[in-house]
Amino acid sequence: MNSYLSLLFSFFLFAITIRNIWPQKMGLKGFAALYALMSFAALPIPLLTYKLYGLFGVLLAVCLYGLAAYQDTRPKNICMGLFGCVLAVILDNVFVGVRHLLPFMDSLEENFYGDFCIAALQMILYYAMTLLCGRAIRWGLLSRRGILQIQQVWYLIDAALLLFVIVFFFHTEVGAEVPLFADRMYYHVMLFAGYFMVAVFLSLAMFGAYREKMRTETRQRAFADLQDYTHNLETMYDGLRSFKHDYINILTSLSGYIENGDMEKLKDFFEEKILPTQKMITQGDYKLNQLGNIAVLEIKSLLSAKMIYAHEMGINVTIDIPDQIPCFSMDTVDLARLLGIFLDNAVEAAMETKRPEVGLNMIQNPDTVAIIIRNSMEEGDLALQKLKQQGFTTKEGHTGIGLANAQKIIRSYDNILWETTKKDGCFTQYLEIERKEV
Amino acid sequence: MLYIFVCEDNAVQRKAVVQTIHNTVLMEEMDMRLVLDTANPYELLEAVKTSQNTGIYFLDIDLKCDMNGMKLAQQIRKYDPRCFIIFITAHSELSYMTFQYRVEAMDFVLKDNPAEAKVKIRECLLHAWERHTLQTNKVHKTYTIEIGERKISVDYQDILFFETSSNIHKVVLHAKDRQIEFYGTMKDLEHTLDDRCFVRCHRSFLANRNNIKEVDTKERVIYFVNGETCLMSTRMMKGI
Repeated sequence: MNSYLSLLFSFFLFAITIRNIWPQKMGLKGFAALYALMSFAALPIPLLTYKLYGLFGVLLAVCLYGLAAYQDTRPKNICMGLFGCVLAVILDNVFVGVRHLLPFMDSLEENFYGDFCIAALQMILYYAMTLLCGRAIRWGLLSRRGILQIQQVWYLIDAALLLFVIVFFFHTEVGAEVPLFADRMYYHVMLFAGYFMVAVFLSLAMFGAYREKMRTETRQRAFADLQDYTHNLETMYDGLRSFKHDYINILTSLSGYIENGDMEKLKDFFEEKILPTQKMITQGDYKLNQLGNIAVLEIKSLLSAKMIYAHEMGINVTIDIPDQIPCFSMDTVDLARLLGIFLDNAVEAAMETKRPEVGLNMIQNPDTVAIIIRNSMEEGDLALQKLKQQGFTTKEGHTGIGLANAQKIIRSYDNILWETTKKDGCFTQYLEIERKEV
Repeated sequence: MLYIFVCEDNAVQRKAVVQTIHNTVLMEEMDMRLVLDTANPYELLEAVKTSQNTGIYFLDIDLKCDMNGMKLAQQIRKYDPRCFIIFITAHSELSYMTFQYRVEAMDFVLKDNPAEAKVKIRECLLHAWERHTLQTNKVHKTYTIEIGERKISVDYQDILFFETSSNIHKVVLHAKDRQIEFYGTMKDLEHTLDDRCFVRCHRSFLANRNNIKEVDTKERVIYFVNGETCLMSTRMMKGI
């Protein structure tokens, strides 16, 4: 019974240490949960086997607790938890050492109250020292900027620390005496479990890093597209402004000719200067402003980038989006991929024709949004069926996975109708997305 | 008999259009009659409500009124679903696609070149007439897909086969020049389609008998008129 109590007491000291250096403020409830979890995980082992292996249970409990509670600082939790374990062990050793230096303690330990006093003293000392350590750590590590702000770094630190703690414990506590076969089994299981956990942390770190990278990439692309879009709008406005300026000049010279009654010169002027401006008004402006009706920024920027590119390739681009389109009932990234594939194909196919044309059209219906992408194409006896097969391509050096991918994306939704038409030298991709009740 | 309606706010242009229509109808001896030409879309709508015959509508898009050509066309469609709508406009920048998909406009006459507009109006009338006679003489069987408020009809004679998709709720229709992937199941299709025409040749294919060009029993492949292929199973081979 006494050993049971002393174990509980040492776990209590562990829990206090961990609480004090925890990255966030841990309330009484959190502390109780941690303590309970630790006791549950760690007590059965020493009680059943009469060995000191309870430490591994503590490690496991701390890791689990760190993952489950206070989720916004997960990797830091685990790191601090492990660090707390190490700190607790060190403090324990220090305390034992100090007590051995003071012989009068031995006599105190004889009676119950003396023992209790020592325990209380030990607890207070623990509390004070760990609180100090916690302050130092929080100041020194947790509030730092720079590389320590990245979660993955913390996961790596966790993995390293865990490995260190496990190896350290084994060599000091267990490694020295493994005479029995059963113990050796146990030893191995523990060691491999430890390695497994290290691997888990490493993969968590990798996964997090990958996701972060993907997110930055998409954001960067959207940003670049948006910049293109704004730049283009600016050039359009510039064009308009210069036209306004010219227009006023034209008007003044017209009035000049009229005042002089010089019909001949007026006629020449009209034919030379004014008639050509008709072209200026109709050409060059490819209605990029209609994209303003799309409220989804990512889609807008993607479309503008693709349309500008098509225009620069000498394709006659038409965009017609008469209504406001507030949202599409599908994942934005999926839609962006779809439209990217369709538009790339449209531009490529249109480039092969004599009068390349690409049209983009969106219509907001009461319960659907229709997206129509149309391009001119060379007439040929190309079967539509083949087009969507993986690996089919009409071009050298292409993998032919574009449309196959598009098909995969569309098939993952129930609310999309997809029509592909090829008629009179015109290829059309028609998507109709039904609004989903959310 | 087809009724012709014209709605155009500019009187001079309306006169020109009406003149062209008169000439064409007379020359081609088509069973059509110009019933109304007006600048007021509401007057036209009233006439449509009481009209018994299918109409051909020539509409200006910008009508200088609170109802524009697009809205007018949408209203007309409600009362006369099989009508032919042709837009007359100077707005070349309004692309044809929107009109086609929204109100199934048949064509688009640009009025900035009067000579071309005349030719175009003539073509439109002939085209509408051709389609109208086709519709009335030969009743096409069609399969209709509905999504939202839109209906897509495909003639039986254009359908090659239906195929299951990897999404269990979806079916792919393969037609001669188009492919439509829509929400539906093979089971429902088998029920709705005419089984004298369609045959289940494989677990995942439903083929149109009339469009099969060749059957390769050895490789168990069916070839269709435009070169597309589908599989068939031995068990269901008998049906073909």
